[in-house]
Parts: sequence; structure tokens; C-alpha cells
Amino acid sequence: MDKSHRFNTDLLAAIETAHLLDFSEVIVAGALERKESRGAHARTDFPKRDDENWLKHTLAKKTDVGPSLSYKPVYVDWERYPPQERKY
Amino acid sequence: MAPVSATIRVQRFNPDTDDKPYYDNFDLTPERDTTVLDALHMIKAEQDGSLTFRRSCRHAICGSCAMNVNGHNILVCKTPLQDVLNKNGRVTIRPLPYLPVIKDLVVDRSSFWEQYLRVKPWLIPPEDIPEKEFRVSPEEVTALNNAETCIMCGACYSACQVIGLTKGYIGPHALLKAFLRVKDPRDAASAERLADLAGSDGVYRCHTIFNCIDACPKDLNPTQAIETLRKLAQKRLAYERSRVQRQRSLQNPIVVD
Amino acid sequence: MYKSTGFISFVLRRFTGVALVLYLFTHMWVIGSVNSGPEAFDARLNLVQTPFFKLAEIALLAAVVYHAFDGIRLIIVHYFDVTEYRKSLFYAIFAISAILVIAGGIPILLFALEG
Ligand code: FES
Repeated sequence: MDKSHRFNTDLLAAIETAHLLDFSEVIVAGALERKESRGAHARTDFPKRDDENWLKHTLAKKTDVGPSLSYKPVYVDWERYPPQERKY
Repeated sequence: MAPVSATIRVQRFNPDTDDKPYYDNFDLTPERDTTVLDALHMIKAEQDGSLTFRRSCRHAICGSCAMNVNGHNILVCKTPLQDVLNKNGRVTIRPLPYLPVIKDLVVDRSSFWEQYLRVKPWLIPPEDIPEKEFRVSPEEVTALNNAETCIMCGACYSACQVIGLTKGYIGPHALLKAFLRVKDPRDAASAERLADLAGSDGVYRCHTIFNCIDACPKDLNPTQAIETLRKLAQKRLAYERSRVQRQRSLQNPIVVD
Repeated sequence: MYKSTGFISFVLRRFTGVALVLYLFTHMWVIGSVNSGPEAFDARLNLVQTPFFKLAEIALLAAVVYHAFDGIRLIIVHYFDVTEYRKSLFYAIFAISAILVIAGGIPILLFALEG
């Protein structure tokens, strides 16, 4: 193990691992709430995209009991670029 | 046939605790497709966690992992270990030469970035920008191929003897970038750029040693770029005039329908 | 030091260049003495007629030939797109210089042995 005070990549990896854990929690919490499928977020129980309820950003705040979620509307230029489902 | 075991000789140096660099030997058993970087990872995970090196992408696109292996600057992540082992199954890994060592295989590349910023690596657009897009011909784009795929790994910079022997030389990486901007038909400051490049730190300081070509992991050719810049620098005003005309014709293209 | 054929040619070029400048000064020192009359000139010339200087003349020939051909190589590199052939070019001028030095060195050596 690296114990030096200079360019300690072991320490860096440890800190990064903690961040990875924090963010995986945020991603899972947000994904559980978002009851639709959209892009890379794909759910078998909600396979359809749902613009009515879920055209919004998820915001997460750190609390003692895990992430707390809130939402913020998405800016959409309805005139020129109305949102459409992407199909392949 | 893959040898059963390999010996990796690594130059170690921690300025806080060591007086001077020394070498450590590590034995390991590589697979057929182990890269040099994999070998370093194996050492760090299994033998000595304090071994320090830079890496990120592991597929030759971020430019973090340039090191000096058996005297050649290469990207260790794209080099199979089998290719660099000698017949006794040994390989020597050192940090990039001519640059100050921070620790083990990590070097201080600030001078590299300073020189890079010095050539203004960004595009300086002309005053009247076309309404829709700049039109560029396929020939003009292929002319830039030589410089576009640089990943800024520093292998050429630290292979250059001129960098090692003099202070202030702009360096092959930055001159290659300058070449890209000077040749770019959308850039409007070629005369200004060429004037700086023709100074005492610029293109004429290159001694055509060709180490940059030998070292480049992306098979680019900084020396040829420098030669081109030399020729353009001699006639930079004429070059700029021809460029202005070219830009006008780009903005009012003759429409063929 | 990062070793390569380019580096070898660079070091040789610098080295022979400096050596040639130094030679030029000795040369002027000998030839310049002609101003002080024939005796002075003969005296100086005798100083550089020893076997050591005869052998050094071969080195001088080598320096001149290598430096000249390296210059030609650089001109080719500057004006034509030949960086791909950088190694062959270097070996070529090295071979040419070696041949010329041997061809010129043998008569010098024979002359030195006779005299
Ligand atoms: S790790 Fe990114 S280039 Fe080697």
C-alpha cells in the first residue's frame, strides 16, 4: 500500500471508490422513482416513454438517510423543436 | 510462445524519501495478451502498491501513459508486453526522459502545456463569420490529417534532444498544433502565428533529429509539419493574403446548380 | 539520452562542425605566418609535419566529408518530403563518407609511412 504524501494513486483510488458508491446510490434512487423508459434508462415494468409525467430533471440532495429527490422542469422550445420519441 | 515469467525493471524515485532514483525488479507471469500497462497494474495490485504511474483510458486515446520502455517512448497501454521483453524476459521501464520526475513513472509536464498554450492552439476566426458554415474542401481537410489525431501524450516532446538541451523551444507537439491552425482554412491569424513560430524558439530551432516521428504512438509526422511551417514562415504575408482571398471565396461560394 | 540514428547524426554534425572551426584557426595560424617571412613559415609548417598531424589529417578528411554530406542530407530533408526515408538517408551518407574517407585515407597513410 502507498503511504507517501506525494502523488499517492492508492489514496486517489480509495477516494474515487467512495464517490462511485455515493453516485451509484443516487443513480439507483433516481431510477427507482422514474417510472418510465427514456434513453439509457430502460425499465421492463414501464417500457414506454412518458412525457406527461416525466419530462423533468431529477435533482438529488445528500442527507443523512441517503439521497432526497426533487424535480426541475426541462426547458423545451415547443415551437421549433417539440420533443419526439427516438426510434430505431 | 509466451515465456513463463517476465522481469519488469522499473525506475523508482520518491523525492521525499530517496536521494536518487533506483531500480526495482518485479517478477510476474504474463498472459499472451498482457500489455505493459497490465503488467504495471499487476505489480501495483499484487506486489507493491506504492508503484506510481499515470494511466486512464487503457486504449491509447487519453495520452496519460507515455513512458520510456527499453529506451523508447511509447504508450504502455497499447504495447503488448511480449513485444518489449528481451530474450531473457526482461524489460526496463523509466519515466519520460528530460522531464522532472514527480514520483516513480510520473513526470511533471507543465513545460509541455506551457509551450502548447504559447502557440494559441485554438481557432482564431475571421471578423466576418459566414452566416451558415465555413466551407472547406476535402483536399484542405486531408492536408490536416497529419496533425489532427494528436493525443498530447508527450512522447515526442520528451524524445526531442532539443528539448533536453535548450530552454524555451516550443517543441514538436505544439508546432504540430500550430501547423494544424496555420493550415486550417477557417483560421484568420496565420501571419501572426507564423511570425511567432519563426522566432528563435520556434521552427528554426528544430535540428531534424526525427525523434518525434520515431516516438509518436499515433504515427504522426511533426518534422514534416515543422518543415512546412519553415517554408510558410518565409512568405507569411503572401500566405496570409492568399488565405484572405480563400476565405472570401468560402463565404460567397459560386453556387452551381 | 534518447538514442536514435537522428541523434547520432546530430552529435556527429555538431562535433565535426566544432572540430572544423578549431582546425580553421590552426590552419590560419600556420598560413598566416607567411607574413613574417619564409623562415617563420617553414618553421611553423615543420611543427605540423609530424606523424601525429599526418594521421590527424585523415580525421580532418573524415570530418569534412561527413559534415558536407550531412549538410546535403539536411537540404534534401528541408526541401523534399523524405522524412519516411530518414534512416536510409542517414545510412547512405554515412556509407558514402566512409568510402570516401577510406579512399582518401589510404594515400595519406602511405604518404605518411614513406615520409
Ligand atoms: S492509458 Fe490512455 S493512452 Fe494509455
